[in-house]
Amino acid sequence: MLTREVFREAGRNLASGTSRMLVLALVAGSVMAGLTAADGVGMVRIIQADRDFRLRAATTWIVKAQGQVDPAACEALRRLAGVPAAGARRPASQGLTVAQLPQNPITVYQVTPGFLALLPDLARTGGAGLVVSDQVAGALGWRLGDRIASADGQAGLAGQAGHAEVAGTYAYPDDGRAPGLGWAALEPVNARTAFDECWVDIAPDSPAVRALASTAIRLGQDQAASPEISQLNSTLGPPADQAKAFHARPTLSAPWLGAATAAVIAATAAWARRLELAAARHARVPRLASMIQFALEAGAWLALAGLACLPIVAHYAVEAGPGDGPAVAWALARVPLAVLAAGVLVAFLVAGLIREKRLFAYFKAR
Amino acid sequence: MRVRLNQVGHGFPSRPLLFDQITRDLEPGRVYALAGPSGSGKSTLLSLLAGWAKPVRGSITRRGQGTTQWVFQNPHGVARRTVLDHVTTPLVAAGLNRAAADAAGGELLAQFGLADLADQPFKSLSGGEAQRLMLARGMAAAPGLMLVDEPTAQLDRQSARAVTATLAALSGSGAIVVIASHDPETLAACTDRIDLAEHAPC
Repeated sequence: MLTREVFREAGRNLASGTSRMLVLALVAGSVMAGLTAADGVGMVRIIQADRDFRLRAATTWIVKAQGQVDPAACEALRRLAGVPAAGARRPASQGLTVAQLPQNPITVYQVTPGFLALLPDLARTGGAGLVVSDQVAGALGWRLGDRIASADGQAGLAGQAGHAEVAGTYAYPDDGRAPGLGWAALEPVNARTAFDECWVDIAPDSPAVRALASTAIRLGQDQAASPEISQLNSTLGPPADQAKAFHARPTLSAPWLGAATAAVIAATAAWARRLELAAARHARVPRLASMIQFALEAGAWLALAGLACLPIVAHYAVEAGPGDGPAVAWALARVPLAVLAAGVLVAFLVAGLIREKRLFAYFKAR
Repeated sequence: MRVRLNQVGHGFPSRPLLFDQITRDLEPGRVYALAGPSGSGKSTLLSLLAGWAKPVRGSITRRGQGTTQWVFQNPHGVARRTVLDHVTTPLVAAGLNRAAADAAGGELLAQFGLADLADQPFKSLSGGEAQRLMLARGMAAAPGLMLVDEPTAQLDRQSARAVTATLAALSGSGAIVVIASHDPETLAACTDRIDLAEHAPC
């Protein structure tokens, strides 16, 4: 039998409705779509939990060692892989009391420049001055570039008696993170003297990097003191291994489940047409040609079913975001690919099991 | 193809033999009527002739070229495929390209009085038309041995006569044709006869 006739016969079966393409595509498509969506929900849930963990600063660790934090060493932690931001903090020698709210002094901290990258929604003028929380800015009606006038004529910046500028704002939401920066102003400094805390954002979590964070401690007179390390937001619990969670999600077996289901559907489809396949063998259609033809037909309705999954894959890829989207799309695409591969393979094999010698038995049992 | 039945007997386990001691040479170009009452083993002997089962006694030997084709009592086709598709399947399977198969298939359909139905789907055929199509498809496979099981059992008289006329015409095909039937008109159309009642074990 000519190869092109095998393809043509498959095409004629599909076009005439003999292959029951639409029904089988609907059944297989429903299974594929269901499994793809279930896996998509599982994946996006893990990704969103991880994103929420980062957004709520649970990946930020604070190494506390009173007067022992080397600001340069702390800032240098940013060079480590998996450390997006790091910076040191210490209280300024005095707070800031403004004329509008004299009874609510603003806590002022001196921070290294890298510290600001740890703060969400940071907006800066680029000039010198204080970076204030949006809570402070909102309460006092301050905008970027505004001049700050303190009640006592001091505005926190050394050498700028009486006034300073609002050089930036940051958000510090009440989402479980440790208090302290909500009603505060930060003064970026390039000091070489010791700080009290080194803040390090470690994402993804790495115990090794966490251990390295302690290198920011400059051992001085109190050599025995061990630094205290804590999460900025401990309300979400310790960091989970998201990669591990991703690979242990309950829907990880969706491609296998889909493959098994496709195998059953393909085998059922072949068995339902056993009389026709045996009759074709009786009409001298070679076994291999019969197997290839049936596999091609199965491939067509499985591919059609797979198309139904594309919007689902696209939806969850978009929901996962640009960073994780491609990985999610590929992981989800494994479901229709597994279904296609298993369905075609089983269709091929089961078509090969239909024997001409059983034609009379198939005929009697039809 | 030549087929020799040598003291053939057959039956099913723990049951008496259906028939025994059938010795016969089947010659090409002849149409054999396989007669006998229901349950006498006509279909069983056909399956032995097809080589799909082995006789419990005796032997069946085949010599020469040619395939075996079996046309069942009820026509079975692919509901949505056309009449022409059914007869071209064996031709395409034998290596003909589509154009050549369509031409040869068209001639076969004309021979079996189905030319006007070439583009109709199988499901639109009457019982007699479908049975003639099955015979045409069988012949398309160029058989050395054609087995036909109760071809008129499910047909009205007019359709049965058309099929019988077609069967009678097969005598010139060069194939051995064996028709199992208990319809007198069908049996009368055959050139030879094997009566299973004569071979029933005592």
